[in-house]
Amino acid sequence: MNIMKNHKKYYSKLVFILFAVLLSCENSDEFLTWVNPNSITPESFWQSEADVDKWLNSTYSSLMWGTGGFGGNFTRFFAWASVYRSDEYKASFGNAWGQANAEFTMDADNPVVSSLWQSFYTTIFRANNAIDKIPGIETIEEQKRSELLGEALFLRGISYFYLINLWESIPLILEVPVSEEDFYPSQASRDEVWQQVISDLSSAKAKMLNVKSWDDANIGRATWGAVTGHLGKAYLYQGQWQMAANEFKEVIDSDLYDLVENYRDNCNDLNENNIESLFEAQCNDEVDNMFSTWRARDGGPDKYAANHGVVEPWLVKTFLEEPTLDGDVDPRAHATLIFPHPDNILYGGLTYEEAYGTLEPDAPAYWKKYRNVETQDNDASGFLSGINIRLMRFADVLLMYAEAENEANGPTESAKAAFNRVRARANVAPVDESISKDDFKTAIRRERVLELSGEDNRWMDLKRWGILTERFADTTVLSGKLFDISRHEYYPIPGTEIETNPNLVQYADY
Amino acid sequence: MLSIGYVDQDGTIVGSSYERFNIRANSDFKVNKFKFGESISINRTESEATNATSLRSWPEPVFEPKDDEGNYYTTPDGYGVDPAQFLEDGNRLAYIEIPDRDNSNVNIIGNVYGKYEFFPGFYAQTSGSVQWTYGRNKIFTPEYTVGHLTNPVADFTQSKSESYTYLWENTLNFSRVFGNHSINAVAGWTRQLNQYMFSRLDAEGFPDGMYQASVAETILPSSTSTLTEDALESFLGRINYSYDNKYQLTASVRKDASSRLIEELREDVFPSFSAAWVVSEESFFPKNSIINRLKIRGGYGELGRLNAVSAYQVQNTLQFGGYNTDYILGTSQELVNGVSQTGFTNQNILWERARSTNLALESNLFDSKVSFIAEYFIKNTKDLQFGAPIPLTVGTNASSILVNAGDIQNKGVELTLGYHKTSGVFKFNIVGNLYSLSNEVLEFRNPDDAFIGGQYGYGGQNATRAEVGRELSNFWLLRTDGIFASWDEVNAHSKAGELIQPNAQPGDLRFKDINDDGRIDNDDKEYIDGSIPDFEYGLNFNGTYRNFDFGIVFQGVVGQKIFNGAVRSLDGILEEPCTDYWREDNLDAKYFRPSQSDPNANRGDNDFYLEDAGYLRLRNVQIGYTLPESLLSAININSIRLSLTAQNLFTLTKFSGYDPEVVSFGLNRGVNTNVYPLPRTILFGLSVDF
Repeated sequence: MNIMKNHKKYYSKLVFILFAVLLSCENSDEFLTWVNPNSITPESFWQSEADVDKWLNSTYSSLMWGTGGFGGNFTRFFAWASVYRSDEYKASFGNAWGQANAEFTMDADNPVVSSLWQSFYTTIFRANNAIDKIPGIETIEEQKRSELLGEALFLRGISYFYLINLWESIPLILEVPVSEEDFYPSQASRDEVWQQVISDLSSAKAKMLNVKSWDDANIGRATWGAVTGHLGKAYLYQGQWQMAANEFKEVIDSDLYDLVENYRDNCNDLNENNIESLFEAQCNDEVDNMFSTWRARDGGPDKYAANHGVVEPWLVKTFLEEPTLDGDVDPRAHATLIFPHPDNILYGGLTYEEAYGTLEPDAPAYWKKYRNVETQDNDASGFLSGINIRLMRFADVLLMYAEAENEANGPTESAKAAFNRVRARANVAPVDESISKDDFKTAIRRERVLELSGEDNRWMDLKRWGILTERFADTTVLSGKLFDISRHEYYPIPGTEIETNPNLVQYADY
Repeated sequence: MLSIGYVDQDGTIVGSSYERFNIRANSDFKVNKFKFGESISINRTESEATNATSLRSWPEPVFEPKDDEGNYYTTPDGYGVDPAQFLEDGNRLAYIEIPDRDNSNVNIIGNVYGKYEFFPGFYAQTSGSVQWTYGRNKIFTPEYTVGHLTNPVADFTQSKSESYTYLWENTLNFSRVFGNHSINAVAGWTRQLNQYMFSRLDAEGFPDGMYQASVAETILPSSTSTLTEDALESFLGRINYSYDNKYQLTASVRKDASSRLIEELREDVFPSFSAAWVVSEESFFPKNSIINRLKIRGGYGELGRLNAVSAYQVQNTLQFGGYNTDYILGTSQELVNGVSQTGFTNQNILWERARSTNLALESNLFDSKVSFIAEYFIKNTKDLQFGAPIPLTVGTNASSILVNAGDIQNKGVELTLGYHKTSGVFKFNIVGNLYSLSNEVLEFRNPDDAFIGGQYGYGGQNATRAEVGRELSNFWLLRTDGIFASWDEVNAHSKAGELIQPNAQPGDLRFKDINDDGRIDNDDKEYIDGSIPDFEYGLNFNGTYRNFDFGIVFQGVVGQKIFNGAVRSLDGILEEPCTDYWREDNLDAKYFRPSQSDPNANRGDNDFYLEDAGYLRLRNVQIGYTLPESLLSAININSIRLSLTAQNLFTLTKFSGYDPEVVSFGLNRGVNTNVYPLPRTILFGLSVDF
C-alpha cells in the first residue's frame, strides 16, 4: 500500500513535469518562417518607372476584364450593354443570359451585369493603388510622376463614368482597402460620383498637358486628347453644355486629330490608333486570345459568324434616306452594314446577293463594323478578332461639340463647321446655313446614328436624351418591347454583391 | 519483407486509362540495446490524363461523332440541330482523342528509425522519413482542323512537379506495470517540412512527328516554375493509465506551430482526455452468459486544423503577367506584361479547432455471439476556416477572403450490431451499422452573415445558404407549383391585377410567391432540409465455408435530397428532358418547355431540380476459394487463393443523376454538378503465397 502511495506521488509529479516541459518548449522561428519566393509583395514593389508602367498595363487590361470562356468588358459585354440593348439591333441570342439582357427579361444574377461591374471596379482598385503609390516613388522625376498619376486618374475617371451611366447608384471607392472593414462600402449619390468623374478627369488633364502622343512602343496609352475628350463627354452627359463645348473645342483646336479619309479605317484592324482615334481598347488576336474581341463573331452576319439577330430596319432606312452629293448611297452604310444592296460586299469580296441570294429591300441586315471582312473569309471559324475597340474618335468629338455648342449658344458657325466636317467626309451635303436650334439638334441626333451606330454610343445617347421609352414604343422599332423605364434604365446591382455587401441597396424591382 | 503489385485498367470514359506498379520492402536489426530498421516503398503510375469529366458534358447525344469510315463529323449530321451551336462546341470526341496526353507519377517513401532502450520499459526513439513524389504531365496537340475545332500550330506542354515531405519524430517512451497498475507515457517533438517544386514548359511549332522543346520554334512566356515550402513543428505528450483492466484514463496535449500562419498566431495548444470503465470486470457484476462484456467510454479532444490555409496564404502577393493582367501596346501591338494584386489575405487567420466529445457503450452478448456498440458524439468546429465571399467592388478579383467564420456543430449517434458465428464449418459475421448526423451553424462572427454556396451552372447560381441556427448546407430555393398548362393559368397567377411571372408562357414552371408581394425573387426562396440524410446504414456479411470465403457489403442512405445541378447543364443530354417535355400534346410532362433563352428562369435556383436521393447500393460482393493444402505441399507453395469480386453491382434509387453518392462538402453538400460515373467492376484475383 505504501509503495503504491509513493508511486502515485511520483507519477503525478512526472505527469506535471512532462506537460509543463512540453508547453514551455519554444518553437523555432527559423524553422517556421518561409518567405514566398514566387512573388513580389505589394510592399517591395513600386520602386521604378518600369514598375509603374507594368501596374498601369494591368489597369488598362482590367477594362477588358473577363473570364476565359466568355470574353470580357470592352472585348464583348460592353457591346451587349449598349448595341444589343439599344434600338439599333434586334437580338436573337442562343445564349439565355445574352438574350435576357437584350430583351429586358434579365435578373440581377445575369453574368453580363457582374462581368461589367467587376471589370470597372477592378480597374478602379488598380487605379487607386497607382494613385496611392506613384507620388511616393522618388526615383521617377517629378514631371513624369505627375503624368503617370494622370493616367491612373484617367482610368479611374472613365471607370466611374461608365459605372454611373450603367447603374443608378454605386459605391465610390477612392482608396485601397486595408482591412476587411473596408470591403463593404455603401452607395454614393449620383452627384458625388459625377463630381469625382469631373475631378479625376480634370486633374488628369492638367497633369498630362504634355502627353500629346506616345512613342511607337507605347501607342494605345491615354493621352491629353483622350482625357480632354472624355472630360467633355462627362460634362455633356450632365447637360453642362458650355463646359462640354470648351473641352471639345480644345481638342479640335489642338490640331492633334483629324478625320481619316476612309471611314472604314475606324472599324477594322488595317489602320488602328490612327489620327482620328482618341482612345482605343487594344486587341491583337495573334498574340493570345485574351486580347481578342468577340465582337466580330457575336451578332455578325448569318452564315459568316455566330448570328445573334438583325440590324433594325429603321436604321437601314435612315442610311438610305439621303444620297451623297454624287447621288450614291452614304459610304458609311457600306462600312457599317451588311444589307441588301448591289454594291454591298461581305467577306472575301462576296456580294450580299451572292451570299444570300436576294436583294429584297426587307432582307435582313447585319453589322459589318468591327467585322473582319477585308482580311478573313468569315468570323465564324475563329472566335476572336483583333480589331481595336474605338472608345472615342474625333468624329464623335466633332458631333458632341456641335451638340454642346448648339445647346449652349445655338447653331453657331463653329458648331455647324464641326458638324459639316463629319458630313463632308461622307460626301453628304452640309447643313442648311439658316437651320434652327431645334432642327440642328435633330440633325445632330440623326448624324450620330449614321456616323456612330454599332459603336456603343446609342444606348447612352438615348438615355441621356431621355427618349428610351419613346424609341422602344415606336412601332418601327422591333426590339425592346418589354422595356420598362422604371426597371431597365439602369442595371441592377449584381445579385452576388447584394448578398455579400449588406450596405448596398438594390435598384428598382430587382 | 517484400511485396509487389501491378494494376492495368481502362477507364469508363475515353482517354482515362490507368496503369500502376508498386513494390515495398522493410527490415529490422537489433544490436544490444540499439534497434534500428528501415522501410521503402515505390509506387509508379502511368495514365492518360484527359480531363474527361468536364468534356463529357458537352456533346449532345444525338450527334454521331464519326462517320462509317472513322472520320470526325464537323457538322451535326441531319439531326435538325442548330449548326451554329455545334460549331461553338465542336466535335468533342476529336478534342479528347487527337491530343497525345500522358501522365506519370512516381512515389517513394523511405523511413529509417533508431531506438535505444535505457532499461526495460523506457526507451528513446528517433525516426526520419522522406516521401518523394514526382509527377510529369505531358500534352502534345498536333496541328489539326476538325470543322470549327482547330489547332493551327502544334503545341506541347510539359509540367513537372516534385514534392518532398520530410518528417522527423523524436519520442521518449515509458511503460510499466506495477501489480494492477499499468502506465504508459510518451513525450515527443516532431518537425515536418514540405517542399513542392513545380515547373511548366510551353512550346509551339514543331517539325512533323517531333515535340521536344529543343526543336520548337517558340518557347512560350507562359513557361514557369515555382517553389512552395511550409513547416510544422509540434511538441506532444500522452499518458495512459489503466487499473486492473477495469479503468482506463488517457490524457494528452500537443502544441502545434505552423509556418502558414503569422508569427504571433502560429502556435496553439490542443488537449484531450478520455476514460473508460469496463463494468463487466467489476466484482459486483454478475457473471452470466447474457452480458459477457460491458464497457462505458467517453472523452473529449481537440485537434488543430489548417485545411483551408495554404503556404504563404497570409502574405499579400502580386501577380506578374497573365490573364486580365497583361495588355497590348504599341504600333506593332506587342504583348506587354502587367502586374497587379489579384487576391487579399487575412493575416489574422487562426487555427481551426475540432472539438469532439463522445460517450459510448460497448457490449458483447450471448457468449460473445452478439456485439453491440452505441455511440453518441458531438463534433464542434470552432473558428471554422472559410472563404467568406467578398464583394467584387474590392477589386482584387478574389471572390472570397479566408476568415475564421464561426462555429459549426455536428452531432449524432452511431449504432453497430453484429452477430458472429466463430465455430463450425460455416463461420460468418454479420455486422450492421446505422449512422445519423445533424448539423447546425452555432455562430457566425457577424450574427447576420449568410453565405450562399452550392454553386452550379454558370456564375451566380447557388442552391444552398448558411445562416445561424440552420444546416451549413441548407437548400435555399424557390418553390415550384407545377407547370403552367395554358395562358389562362399564366394570367391567373397574378396579384392585384399584375402578373406574378410576367415572362412566363404555357409550359413554364409556376413559382410560389411565398412572401405574397406579387413578384418572384430571392425573398421567395425557402429553406429546405435534406442535404444531410436522416441516416446512413451499412451491412457487412462475410464468412467461410470449408475452402470457400465470401463477403457482401451493402450501403445505403435514407432521407437524402440532392439538388441535381448537373441536369441544369446536361438537360440536352439526358433522355427524359429530350422526350418528356411540355408541349401541346404532352400536357402532363415531367419537364417544362425547352427554351434556350429561358425567360422564366425555369433552369434556376428552384426545387424542380431537388430530387429524393436515398439509395441502397450493393457495394461489394466477393467469393474466394483457397486450394486445399494437400494439393500444394508437393510444389512448395504455402497457399493459392482464387477470388472473384464485383463492385457496385446495383444501386436502388429514385435519383436521376449518375450517382446519388454525391461527393461534396461544406456549403456544397447535396449539390450535384458533374461527377465521374461510378464504374461497375468485376475483378478476378489470384494470390499465391510461397
